[in-house]
Amino acid sequence: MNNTPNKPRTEQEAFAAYLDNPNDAAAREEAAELIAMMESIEAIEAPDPGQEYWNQFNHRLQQRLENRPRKRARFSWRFFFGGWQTTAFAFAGLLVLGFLLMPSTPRQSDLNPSDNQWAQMSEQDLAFIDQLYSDDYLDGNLSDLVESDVAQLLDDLGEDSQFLERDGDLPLDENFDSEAFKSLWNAEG
Amino acid sequence: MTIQVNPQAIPTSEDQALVQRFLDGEESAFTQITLKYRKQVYAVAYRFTRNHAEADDLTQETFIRAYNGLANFRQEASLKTWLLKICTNLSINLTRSGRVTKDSGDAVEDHDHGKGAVSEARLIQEQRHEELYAAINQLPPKQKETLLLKTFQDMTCEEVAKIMKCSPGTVKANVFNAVKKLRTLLKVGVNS
Repeated sequence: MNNTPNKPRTEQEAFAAYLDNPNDAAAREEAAELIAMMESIEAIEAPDPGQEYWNQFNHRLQQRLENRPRKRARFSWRFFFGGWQTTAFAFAGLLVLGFLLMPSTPRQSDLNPSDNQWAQMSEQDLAFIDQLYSDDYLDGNLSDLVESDVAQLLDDLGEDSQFLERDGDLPLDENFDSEAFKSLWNAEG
Repeated sequence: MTIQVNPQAIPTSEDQALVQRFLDGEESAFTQITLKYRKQVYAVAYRFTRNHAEADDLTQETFIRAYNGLANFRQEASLKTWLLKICTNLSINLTRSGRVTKDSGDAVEDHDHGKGAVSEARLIQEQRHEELYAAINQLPPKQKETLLLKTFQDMTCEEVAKIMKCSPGTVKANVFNAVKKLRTLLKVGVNS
């Protein structure tokens, strides 16, 4: 059994009870003045504009619906991307995809021979470069390369190198464009 | 045995059917929606604006917006609540913009009260209503809007809360504060 005496309601509590149940007699008594004011506001009715007005109402509405300006479809990024959550999710997905693909995918330039000077070299040229690194011809430094070394190299390797200007009248060492070769070497590292 | 069914007793399913018929391309269904709710929409607009021209414009605009937006109406609330919400939002935007003008010249004649000589009692009542509305216009916007909705056609606190996008408790607090402030304003005199 609950012996706690009922706590008297405040005016606000009584008014709230009336809003929930307008027939709550106790609430009406406890918040009588406020409820009377509320009911006087409720008693104010909007005047009826009359049957003539209502007879025209739908006809005018129909006209306004027919004459309303058509909305132009406005460009909106939201149309493409939806909310920011969708955009963020898609962006994160792209980042993950890119990360996963990057290490295992060779560069396109590595795959396309036309973009790679080294890929254009014949086996003879590659052997020529390999020989340059060997101690027999060059002691580790390209600037030390002299034309006689090159001539020796070309004798060993034949005349297929692309670095040779093919002029049959000149000796091999004079056909070799050593400056062009050095600049290409430097450019390609 | 025939069972009499009062159409007003099943407004929701009837409204759902009307909405569905409209979405299926039957334009006359929208006309029926308009005929059913236009007076209530007008009454809300008039309560906010106290101006027939503005109330008329708001009522028309409400139904135009409803026509355009009915496809997006998710029927979480009743059609009536949805229409009144559109009208309330339009009315609030208008009244907050300060563009509402007091009725002058185009005030409607109240057909419900009949024509003929205006009695003294009626004049006194109208004067009291004017004082009351002058006091209501001095309320903070939220309190005013909540009070006008709550005192409109037995709308429940839950219905008002849906329109005002707040909790029923906030509705009750706003209405209480509004009425309390009105009592003070009317006691000291609105104009003073």
